[in-house]
Amino acid sequence: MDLLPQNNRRRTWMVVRIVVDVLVVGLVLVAPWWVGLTAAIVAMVALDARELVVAGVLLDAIHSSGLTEATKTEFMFTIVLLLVLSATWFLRQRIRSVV
Amino acid sequence: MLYRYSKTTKKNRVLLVPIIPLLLVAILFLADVQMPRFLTNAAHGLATPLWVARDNVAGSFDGTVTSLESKRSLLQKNQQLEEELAALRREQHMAQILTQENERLRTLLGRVEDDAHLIPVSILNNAAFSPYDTFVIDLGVDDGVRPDMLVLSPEGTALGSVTKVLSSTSIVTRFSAPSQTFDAVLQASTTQHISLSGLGSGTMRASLPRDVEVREGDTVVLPSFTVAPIGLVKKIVAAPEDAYKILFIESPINIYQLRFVLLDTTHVWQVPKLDETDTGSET
Repeated sequence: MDLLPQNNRRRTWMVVRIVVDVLVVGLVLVAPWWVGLTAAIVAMVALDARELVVAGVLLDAIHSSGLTEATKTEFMFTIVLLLVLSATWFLRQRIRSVV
Repeated sequence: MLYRYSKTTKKNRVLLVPIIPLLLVAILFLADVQMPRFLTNAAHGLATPLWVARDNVAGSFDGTVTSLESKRSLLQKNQQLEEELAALRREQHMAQILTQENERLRTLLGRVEDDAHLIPVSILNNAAFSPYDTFVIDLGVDDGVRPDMLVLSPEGTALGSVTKVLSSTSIVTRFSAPSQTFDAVLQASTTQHISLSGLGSGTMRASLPRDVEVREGDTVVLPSFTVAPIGLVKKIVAAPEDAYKILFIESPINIYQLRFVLLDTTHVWQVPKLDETDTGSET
């Protein structure tokens, strides 16, 4: 019997998060871009997985081929995920203050 | 006092969560930061075995699905494919005749060029997986690939040019990439210089004066003597009140099904941009 059940919960949570991170990075590498991006956004919103900004950097590193007129940046996905990160924080704060 | 201090510090630290990403976004936009080459190299190094494994799995899955099809549908498919093959043979024969005629005419004009040195390269990650309309090929700077080299389909249709060369892989940007604007030649009833802009996924757009005669199916080629087709006019939109009509040009090649392309190591692709005033002028 574990004397500290919160430690177990934290460990489980950590394992879930690592598994999700690995899955998302796998999708970013293997699946079409929109699948990887969607998975990263969902994981960031649902699990507050801030480390998944790396998935955006990975997507940009794989596909971008220099500064373009259309995007003006080589870090399109990184920017999207950074904005999602900020938006998620604001939403969480609002929901907490309402609840 | 200590309680108030720790609470304020915690609040300040929490505020960093939304501020740091926004600062990073501002820096990435304003400072024109370029992707470090080592990062792209590392990402491609990590992904290449996975891409190869994915293609192998997809290939074996296709075989399994085919073997599960009924005998009747397979017979139908076989007959359809035989008909297509016969039609393609006829077209190939015609193309051979036209090529020979073209070579004879070039010789008569005294414009004989060395054959382009084409290297077959494998596509590691095709454009379906990329939002930038790019694809990754399995040769890099170590194999002699240089920026701006032309990339062709096995049939000789121009697909794009090499835009980023890494140690063992390269990124090819398609002519239809959203940021691309370049000159081309429309082979309609008369030859027209046009300025094409990419719309993504193999589609490009150009505008021409209303009175220029263009038909759907007309060919658009690269403006060089080694004429490589880029695409066909798919749709023409002409509003009655407009002085110009808009052409939608589509590449005849389905890039998503391609496994190999040809890299032209003798020609680089750097086209000077056409002036707005020249658009539509007859040559």
